[in-house]
Amino acid sequence: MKRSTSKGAVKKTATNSKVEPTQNGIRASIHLLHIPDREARKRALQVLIDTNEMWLSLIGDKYGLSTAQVDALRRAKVPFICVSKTIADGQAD
Amino acid sequence: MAKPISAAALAKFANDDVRVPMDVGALAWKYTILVPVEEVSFTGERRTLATVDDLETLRGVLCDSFLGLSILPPIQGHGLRDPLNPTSLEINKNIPFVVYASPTSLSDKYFEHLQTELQKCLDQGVILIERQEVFLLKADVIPSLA
Repeated sequence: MKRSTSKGAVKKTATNSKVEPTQNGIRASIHLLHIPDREARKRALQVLIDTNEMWLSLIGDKYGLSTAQVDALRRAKVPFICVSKTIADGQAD
Repeated sequence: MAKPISAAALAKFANDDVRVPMDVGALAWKYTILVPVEEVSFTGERRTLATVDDLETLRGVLCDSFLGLSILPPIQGHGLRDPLNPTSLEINKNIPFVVYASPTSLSDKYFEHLQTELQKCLDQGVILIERQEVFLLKADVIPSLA
């Protein structure tokens, strides 16, 4: 059984208690991405600057990004590899 | 005349001792490098300073040196290039790169070297690098969340 809260803030299933983050919700995820190609990283940089949000850059060309930033990279067709992400309560997915 | 930022030149001063031990409660120095990306003069003339290629080089070098960094949204500043000349009004766009480093003179030396290299490469009189002293807390695991 699936139920939605008002305004679609979070979705919760009865079978497991996993809470899925919404795109702009206060409980949004942090995604860890890997962008191996330098040209792609340069494009990502431009896209991320335009999002006007902070982001993390980690050794090994990995990035800690918000859901909105990942969506911006997808829209700009920047190739990346998803390494991991947190779910809404901050636990590893 | 601006020239590309060289990863090799910046990496020369890298040293494991500048990294802050993040796994324990520790004093750290938080450096914010205001990387200038654009300058708009009083007459509306735009000048690109750090290019995307430069930003990517700097990001990579700082990640290698400190294992990671935060990049904040661009900030806009304005002022007089020559305080006595009112027509020298400029608008600047900077991208803040934030790094936690070990609170030692080695870290200061690293960032002084970085500042010199950036000033040379971007043809700027001064690149602002701020240093703040912070304490990184290390909380014990809260029993109710364990």
